[in-house]
Amino acid sequence: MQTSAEATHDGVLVDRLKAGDADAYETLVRDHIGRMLAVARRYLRSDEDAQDVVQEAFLAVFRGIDGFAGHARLSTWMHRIVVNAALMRIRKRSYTAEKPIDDLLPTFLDDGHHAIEPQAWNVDAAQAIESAETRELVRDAIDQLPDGHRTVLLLRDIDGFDTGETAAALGISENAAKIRLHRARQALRQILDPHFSEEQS
Amino acid sequence: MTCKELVAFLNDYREQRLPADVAADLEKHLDLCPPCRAYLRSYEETIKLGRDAIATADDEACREMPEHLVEAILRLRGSARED
Repeated sequence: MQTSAEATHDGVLVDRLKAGDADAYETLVRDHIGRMLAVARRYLRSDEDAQDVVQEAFLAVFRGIDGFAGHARLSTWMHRIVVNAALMRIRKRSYTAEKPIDDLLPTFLDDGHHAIEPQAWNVDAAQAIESAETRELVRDAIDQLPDGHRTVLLLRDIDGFDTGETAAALGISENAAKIRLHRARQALRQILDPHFSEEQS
Repeated sequence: MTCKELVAFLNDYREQRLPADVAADLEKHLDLCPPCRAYLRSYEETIKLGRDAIATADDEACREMPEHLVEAILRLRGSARED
């Protein structure tokens, strides 16, 4: 939701950018570079790649600003650009050979019962995340997911892409995007399980 | 409905995309099956933990101002305009 103050700030800045105002470009870069880096870093495992991708994204922003119509917030538009730049980098590198995710999915007996009964978690996310150690644990767990699943989880659960947008960004079907999201969350749950289940604590 | 089917349908259930009769079967199973209830709860917690862990990382990163990168990007502006 865009407040009118933000809309005005965006509108004034965009007008100045379109007019080629050098100060406006510097304001744009300084206002957005931290968040752009944060987004790039969660997709890419190397900081050097993240910095390259942020440069590519800003170049795309500079080239696209004349066509920016202001239907979305400037920050939303830039967010999409850096996410797409990061995805392109992952595709180009095909980073790691895709690990199978099957080992991280729950298993079932022939009669359909859980092979290992899930235990309740002794955790309240809002409270747990106050601890830096837990945040690190969760980020590491996300990093352990195979790229094809990790990217879907990031797009859907973190970056606010819907199923259609996720499918388009990755060049996969909507059904594949749905399946990967569910598997990615199950795998992430499995990795976190030993840390949070009541039996362990 | 088996536990295996319930887990397969879980996200469609959360997003209310299941036909009413399947959703009702799923809820009946949940009522009777503590492990599946635990699974659903921890699945929900997983989503929240992921979101919150990343959001706080973002807030930390937003305070960064790497000057060399700012300058490199502002130099790119020249090349963007020449296109």
